Amino acid sequence: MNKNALFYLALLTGLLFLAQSLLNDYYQRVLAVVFINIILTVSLNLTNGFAGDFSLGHAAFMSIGAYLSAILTLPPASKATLMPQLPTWLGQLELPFVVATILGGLLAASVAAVVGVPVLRLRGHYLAVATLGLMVIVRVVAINWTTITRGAKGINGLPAFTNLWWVFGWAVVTVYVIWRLVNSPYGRAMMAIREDATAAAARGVNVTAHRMLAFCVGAFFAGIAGALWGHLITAITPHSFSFLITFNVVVMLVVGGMGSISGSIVGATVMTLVPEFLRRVETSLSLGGHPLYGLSQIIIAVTITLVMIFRRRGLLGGREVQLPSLFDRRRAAPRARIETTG
Amino acid sequence: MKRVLSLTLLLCLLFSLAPFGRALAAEPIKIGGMYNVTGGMSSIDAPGLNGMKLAAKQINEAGGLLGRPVEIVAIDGKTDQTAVTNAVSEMINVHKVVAIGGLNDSTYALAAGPIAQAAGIPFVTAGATLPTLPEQIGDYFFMTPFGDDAQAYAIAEFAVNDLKAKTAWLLVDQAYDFTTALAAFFKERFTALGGEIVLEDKYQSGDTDFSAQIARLKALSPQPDVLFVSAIPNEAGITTKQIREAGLTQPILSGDGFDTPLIGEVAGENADDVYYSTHASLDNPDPKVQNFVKAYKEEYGVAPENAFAALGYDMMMQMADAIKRAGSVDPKAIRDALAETKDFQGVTGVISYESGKRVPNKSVTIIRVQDGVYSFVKEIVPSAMPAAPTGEPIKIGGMYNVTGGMSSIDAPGLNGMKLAAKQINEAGGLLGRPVEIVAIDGKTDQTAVTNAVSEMINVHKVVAIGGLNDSTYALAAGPIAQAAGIPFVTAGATLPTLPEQIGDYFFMTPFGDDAQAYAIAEFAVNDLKAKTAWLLVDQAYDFTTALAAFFKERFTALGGEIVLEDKYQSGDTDFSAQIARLKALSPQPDVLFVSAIPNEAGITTKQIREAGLTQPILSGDGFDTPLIGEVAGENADDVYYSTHASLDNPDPKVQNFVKAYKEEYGVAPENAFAALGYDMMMQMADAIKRAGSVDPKAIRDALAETKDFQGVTGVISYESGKRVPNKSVTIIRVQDGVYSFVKEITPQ
Repeated sequence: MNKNALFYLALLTGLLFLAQSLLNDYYQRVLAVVFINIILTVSLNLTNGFAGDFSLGHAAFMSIGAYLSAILTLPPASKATLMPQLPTWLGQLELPFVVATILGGLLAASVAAVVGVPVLRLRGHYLAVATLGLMVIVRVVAINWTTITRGAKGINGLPAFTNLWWVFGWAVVTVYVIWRLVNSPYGRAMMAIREDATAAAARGVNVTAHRMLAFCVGAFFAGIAGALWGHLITAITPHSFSFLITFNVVVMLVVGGMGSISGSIVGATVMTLVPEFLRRVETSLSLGGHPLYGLSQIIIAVTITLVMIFRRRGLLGGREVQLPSLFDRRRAAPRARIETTG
Repeated sequence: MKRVLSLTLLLCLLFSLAPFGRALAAEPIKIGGMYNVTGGMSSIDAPGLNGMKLAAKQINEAGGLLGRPVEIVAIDGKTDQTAVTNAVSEMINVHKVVAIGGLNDSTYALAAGPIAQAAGIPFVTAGATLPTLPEQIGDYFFMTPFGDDAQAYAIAEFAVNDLKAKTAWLLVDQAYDFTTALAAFFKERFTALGGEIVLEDKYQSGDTDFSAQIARLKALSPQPDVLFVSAIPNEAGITTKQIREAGLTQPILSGDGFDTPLIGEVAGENADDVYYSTHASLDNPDPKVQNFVKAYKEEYGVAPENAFAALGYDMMMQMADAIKRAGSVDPKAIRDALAETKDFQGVTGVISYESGKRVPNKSVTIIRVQDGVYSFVKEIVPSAMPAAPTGEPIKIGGMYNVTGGMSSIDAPGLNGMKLAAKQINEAGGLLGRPVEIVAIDGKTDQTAVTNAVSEMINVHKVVAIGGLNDSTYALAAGPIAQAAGIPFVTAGATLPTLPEQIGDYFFMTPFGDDAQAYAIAEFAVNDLKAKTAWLLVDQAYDFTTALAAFFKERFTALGGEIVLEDKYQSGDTDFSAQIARLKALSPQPDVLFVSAIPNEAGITTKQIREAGLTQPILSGDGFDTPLIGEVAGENADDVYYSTHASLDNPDPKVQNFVKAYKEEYGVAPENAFAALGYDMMMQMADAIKRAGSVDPKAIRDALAETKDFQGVTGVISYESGKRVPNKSVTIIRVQDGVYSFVKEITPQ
């Protein structure tokens, strides 16, 4: 962490203070969703952008994180009425939000490890299919393990712990961890695997271990995001974490540009805010007295298509944004370009 | 002035002595009595002040207000605008009155009102009848009498309904706002009731010769049925006299400008068949009126001179009622309590300020003059004419998933809600303000739904939110509204525990799943004479598992037996295993209960019938979908399901809704959720009306008190603190693919 990064962090913190005092609940809520999506996109980027695998497991990991953290933070009194069949020790347990969140992330990472051991030995689209399968498995478990998950009913009445500071803090942690990882020998190894796994293996890189690392770290943060999401919406059901969520995160990733952390941040921010504000446009516009519901989805679909035609590598094209340096006299040395294979 | 001064001095003395005497312990509540007791207005203002003082005396004899005596600070306005304004200012600034009442003429009310308004002191006019006064002056101004519109409507309704008049002649004094407005209102209602104004003639106040106008009237052929004379007291007698002397015998009608002894005095025995509208009749046998007349006689030795004495009395009593309800003498609190005046029983009628108006919707007294004798005919409450709603719209959130998986039931729901809002606005809006639906698409996505609810509350500042037909989304949306203290009424989510789970700002328009399951179980036992049942339950939804459990509970309680309970997962398409197990049963169960969501309604029916099973198939509102007919075709036979409403229900409420929906959207309501959306909005409007305010807390409280609300989908009452209505359940039968209404059941 250099002075420059600290300065921008302080600036963001200041802006957040300002946002909290000036913006009403609605804008704060949208901002919270932005940060959750940043966590999801940046963490998916590690697997999909840097390690070159294609995971579709984020919804499943979110689901795991959300369910575990919900069970851990629910007050025992609520648990007694909602989930009377819970084992006594679990029914009595009430953990602080941050602990529950981390445990949610860890469970998601452990599940990722279990899935990853067999699957990550294979190359190609196996991971995409396997993670898709994982999503179905997680949902079926959530529906049928009624003593713990309340089945299809879902868990509601979660304490609304998630606020701007939690999501901002976790987003900063996510970005920092992934940035450090990517710019470490591990990250270089991941990128080498992405470009040519055989060549990387020939240079002594443990391909499976590095792919596992990327997959599990990504899953950890997806679990964190799930916990934050659950405590923002306050109601989770097995159907909450559908393919649609994974798809949205993939879109944010692709729009921002795979293999770029700043691209993920831009993608997540743009793809959260634009639909939100387009929705207000569609409410105010009308055709023959009928509001144009669904217009925002069409505009977004068309925009994504256009981005894919004209900027196939996303808005940032796999590059990182360099924030102007304020403390170093000399221009920051241009970082090695991180190119993607698209 | 000297007397006022000495009175003030005396009061000061009393105050200084107050701590020493128990009887005088309480400081009096000072109320301004603003009347023109001298000058041109004195003949009606002096009795008004007498009435007010009589009321104050009675209040004090009954223990005062909030344990304190009432003191009337009466200052003469001298029928002079400057003197009136000075007097009002003196009352407020020198005597520190907490409220002011009085004045029987709009001109003076318009001078006095703004001073009280600026000082934040409530002003209640006892007798000024210009209906726009409260609007012109401000929110601290109230009227005890009806507006001129009301009395003109009443006399017009009397002319048409009682005198069977079809045509009318109008004579209008052009010199007064009062007379021209009265004539315009009469014309409006008379023609609206099918009458015709054959000639409208005019004169100027002060005219004494009406021969030209009467000649034009006599030339009419055929003669009009009634003659409406819009005059002030000055011309009441002379016009009557000249019309009758010209040999015209039709009834003469007018407003309270005719409430003067001049008719009898000037026209003498020609004062025949004259009818006018006014505030009260001393002949009215109502004990309230007779008690007042008696007390007035005892106090002043004469009968009340005119209706303005009664109005002064009512004004004071109404103010006392407001202070009692306010529990405080803070002018703001008194104002708020005055604004909430409801069913105040006055001598001159019942006073309620409805829909935020500060003009009461009061009964109008009709008086007949015959041979110079005045007698009470009847009281009429004119049907209110809807005024076009004005002002800031009342924003209500319309939270529906109009795109995505829920759209097929949510889009009709929103249409129903919008139709209701349109009808409300056409009928004059809510509290005189238009309703605006802030509809934001929830996209069948929990994040989008919660964002939308938050946007409605924080950006659009809605006062209440309604919508959503699924418990999953209601559970996401409800807590946000609950936390913000905004009432949320779900139009179609039927999980009966929702209000408990979410909180006290959450209400349900539909019945709960328990009610519909009980109803169909009762129907099975009582109407289909079923003794055994087979259960097929979708395990994927709370709705389906709960419905099956409730059905089972009631069916067995009624002596039935569940012979087999089988299950599947939503999304399954092959039910052959379950049906095979069913076919293996011997004896066969009497009825088959399928607890499914719309997706599987058609396919289960089809496969059961194709397997050769002919027992009645029962279900809940998950079967309320065209899919049964579409998928099962002619196999859709002997299927019964419970739902919220049937479009075939001959009840006029239902048929009017269906007709209005067709007119608005070109199609019949797609399903019961359209009706539920409509009911939800109407129920909310009902609560806002009763709350008399758009404060979310007040709306919540009014919603919680919903009672006997007549909706398209049934009668909604929240009993014993529950926020799930105890509603009737509609049973529908599908036969040869045709859906028809069977009956309504209110489950026990």
